[in-house]
Parts: sequence; C-alpha cells; structure tokens
Amino acid sequence: MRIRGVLIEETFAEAFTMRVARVVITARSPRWAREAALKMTGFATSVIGCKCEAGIERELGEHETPDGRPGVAILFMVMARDDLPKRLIERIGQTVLTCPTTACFDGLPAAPDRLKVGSALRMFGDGFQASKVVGGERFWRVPVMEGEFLVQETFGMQKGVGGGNFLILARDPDAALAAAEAAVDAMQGMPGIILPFPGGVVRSGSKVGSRISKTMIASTNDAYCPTLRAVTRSALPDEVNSVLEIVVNGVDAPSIAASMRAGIGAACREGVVQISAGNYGGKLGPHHFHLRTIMGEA
Amino acid sequence: MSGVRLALRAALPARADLAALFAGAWAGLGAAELAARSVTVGGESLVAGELFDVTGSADGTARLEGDLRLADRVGRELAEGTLVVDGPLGHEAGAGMTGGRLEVIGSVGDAAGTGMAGGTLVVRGRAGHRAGAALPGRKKGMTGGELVVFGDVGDEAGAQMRRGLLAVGGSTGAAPGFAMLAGTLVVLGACGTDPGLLSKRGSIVALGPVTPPPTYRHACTAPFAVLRLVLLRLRDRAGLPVRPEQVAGTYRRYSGDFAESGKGEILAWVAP
Repeated sequence: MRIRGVLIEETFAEAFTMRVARVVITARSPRWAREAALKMTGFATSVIGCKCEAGIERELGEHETPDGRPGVAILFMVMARDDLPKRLIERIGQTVLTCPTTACFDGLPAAPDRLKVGSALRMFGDGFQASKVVGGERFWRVPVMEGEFLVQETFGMQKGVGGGNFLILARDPDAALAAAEAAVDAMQGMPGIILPFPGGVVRSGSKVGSRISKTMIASTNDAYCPTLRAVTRSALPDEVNSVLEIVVNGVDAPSIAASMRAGIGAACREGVVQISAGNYGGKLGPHHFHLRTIMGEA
Repeated sequence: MSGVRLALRAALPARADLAALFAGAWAGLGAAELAARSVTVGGESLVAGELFDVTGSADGTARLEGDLRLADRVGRELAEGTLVVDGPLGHEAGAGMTGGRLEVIGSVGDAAGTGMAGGTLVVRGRAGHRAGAALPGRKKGMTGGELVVFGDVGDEAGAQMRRGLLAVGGSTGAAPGFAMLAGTLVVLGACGTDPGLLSKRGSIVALGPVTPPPTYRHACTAPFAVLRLVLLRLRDRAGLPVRPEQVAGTYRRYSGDFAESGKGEILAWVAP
C-alpha cells in the first residue's frame, strides 16, 4: 500500500490499556488556563520516567466549561488505577492550585470510577475550606492568598489506551521533521487524544530492555537508528537517514485510530520513504492498530 | 406532556390534604389507580376520583388543573416523576420531597419545600413564609434538592437549611436564611431584614439590596468562582433572569454570624 508514493508497511502499532482522567482547567483568561495546563502536563511524556503521561486535549471556549470561563482540557494517564489519584493530587496541587485565577473540574462526569482528588486538596485550606454542592456535585472552595481555589471533589476515571504510534522514515532529518510537524498539526485537537511528547514528536523511540544493563527497562531502538545501520540488525531501507515517531494516547481505541489516520495521511509527503509502527510482536499490548487497515478506512 | 391529567371538578369547599396522592411510587400508575388514591377535604376522607376528573395513561408525569389554593401538601414526600400544577397551591407544597420534579405554574402558600431532601421544586409565582425551611418540630430545613421561586417569598425563607439550593427570583420577607446550618440561598431581589441571622455555615448570595446584620464582618470584595457555577445553573437550567455582569461580577463577602460560629457568609453583588 502506498500513499502519495510513501510505503505503508504491513505492520501494526501495539498499545496498552491505561487509566485516564480528563481534567478541565478554567481561568480568567485563556493565557492563565494554558499556563496551568502547560505546567500540569510538563514532564509527563512517558510512564517509564515520569510516572504518568499527560497532554492538552484541546482548548475550551467559555460555553464549554462549567464556570463559563475559558479553559483547557487535559488527558492524564497512568498504568495502574491506584496511581491516578496520587498523581492528580500532586500535579493539581502544585500546578493548578498555585496558578492565579484557575479552577479545576472533572471532565469525565459519566465515569463511574470516582477519584477523591478535591477532597484531598481541600486540606490545604487548613480547616478554613468550605464546600458547595451544585447540581449534585460537590466542589471545594479552598482559601488562597489571591481569593479562592475551586476544585471538584471527585474526578472520573476510565480505561484508556496509551502507546498508539507510527514511525516516519525519511530521506533526511528535514523531511522527517516536516512530515512529523504536518502529522501533529493534523492530529492535535482531535477529540479524545493527546500527543504527550515534545511537540507531539519522539526522536528517541525505545525497545524493551537493554543490551548492557539488567536494570534498564528501555533503551534506544537501535534497529531504527540510522547511525547504527552498519553495526546492528537495521530495519531501515537504504535511503532512510532519519526517523521520527508520533506517539498518541487516547480515551479509547477508535479515537486513536482516527488520529493515526489523520496523522499518517498528513505525513505522507515529499522526502518520506515509509511509514512503520512500533510493536512487541503483539504479545504485550492488547490494542493493535494495523496501519493498512487504518489507512484503508480513510 | 401526556401522562395523567387531574382536572378539579368543582371549587374546593374546604382545605384539602393531597399528601397521599403522589406519595411513594406513583409514576407508573395510570388514571384509575391515581383516582383511587385517598385525599381528605375538610377532614373527610375521599378518593381522588371524587375531586378530579382523572384521565390519561402512565408515563411518569401528571398534571393537576384547577384552583387548588386550598389544597395543601401537594407533592409532599414526592420521590419520583414529574408533577405539574397549572394553578395556585396551598401550604406545604413539595414538603419533604426526596426526588422528582414539582412545578407550580402559580403561587404557593407557606412552608413550600420545607424539609426537602432531593428533587426539584419550581414555583413560577410567589411562595409564602418559611419556604425551604424546617418542617415543624425538625431541626433541619432543606437537606438537598433545589427550590426555585420566581416571585417573592415570605419570612424566614431557608431557615435552618442544611444543604441544597434555594433561589428566589423576587425579594424575601424578614430573616431569610435564619439559623442556616449550610446550603445556599440566592436572592435576585431585595433581602429582607436580618439575613442570615444566627447562620452557622450557610451562604446567602444577594444580587439585590441587602443589609447584613451587625454580627457579620466584611472580609473582602472579590469574584468567586463557585458563584459562577451556581448562577449559571440558575440561569441556564432554571431560567432565572441572572445577568452576565452578575455571573462575572465581584461580591462583597461578609462573614458571620459571629453570634454563632462565624463560618457563614453573605455574598453581596457589587453593581458595576
């Protein structure tokens, strides 16, 4: 299968079940909502080193938020369900509570699993906090020097999918980067997904384990490193000199498939040789995104 | 709305007690079953079918029609379904509701929504004294649910509220929010004298004129995010005429009542 001359390899991306929360941050202006969102989703590229994966799903208009102010929706993901409240409390407490004018709401109100996040953060109020029930939902008003920080008592948690991906194999670094940027532009803002890596792009795709260390759980994906073509079992065609990866997490598999379809379609452009994907032989992750199936649906 | 229709046959000759008409499970009942439910008029026991022409079929809704200002306790302990009253009602409308929705397209007497624990009571006209307050002999007023009165209310609205939301589109009589334990009372018009007197932790949101009691102290003037939630809900869900500048506005916060714990508040809108 080729799209605009780019080979779509017959392979699949292998992804994992994760636990996801959607956090809605509102503020007096888009600037402050975005400031808090950027801090909260900082250093959250991979559970391997960050204990969580997070990203901005999209910016929200005033008519889309509970308090009628501009906002940002964040998807926040971990591997183990018990980790999610801990990470949310840490991150909201340090990055949203501290940020001027913000309030913080649950973005998965229908999720039956409820995490006690606001009810933990309220303790910052040192006994001066107060709650209000509005529309059957409890909110905590935590007094802060600026005024009050408003946070919803519980946040919904549901199963999500992490690790959807595709690899852009290009003739040179400029072509790889241009294709990756085009893919990200096409994917960002699509409902139900985030791109947790810097600018949505990964240059350091990894393989499981290490050749030289028993303690490392991941190391460089040497089969896709152009500089190692001569010294390792390379997976790269001869004309490929640079590879970038797009990693996508989402609330469900269809959201990821839709975003991969958009991203791959945009990445198939001049200078790109092949689109591939990362997997572990299908033995580790229950979600398999077959590239040709996805693109055949386009 | 289809459902069951109960049209009053003739003017009530004396005060009627309709508490049993919609108590417990009723939303699945058809016209015949509701017509067989007991009511009292002037102390005399009757069945509803002797007072009303009852027609229609069960769909979880019912509509009462006629001048029912002498009919007390309509929707008392309502737990389910949607009940619309096309006309005025007597006392204790929706008292002790735990669920469902009661909408009165008219005014109601005293003690509407007293002791509500859940559900929604909407009064398109006025309400008498002690709306949303405690039932006689009880310590707590509303403990949940939403009571929305589009017109004025009488004295002691929301007295001893524990939880829930009471919104008044008009003005209140004396002592709104008297001895509130918690909960929220929103007044779009003028608050009567001594609002929040002896309140422990309740919130009174005054969008119109208000004079806090001397046992309240001014804390600050600021916007409050929680008020945006409350006011947007009242505007968008209940249809109260809350203005954008009130949603986005700043409020003078008074803490009190310091004759009690001082953990209550009056939030008075500052007109731009």
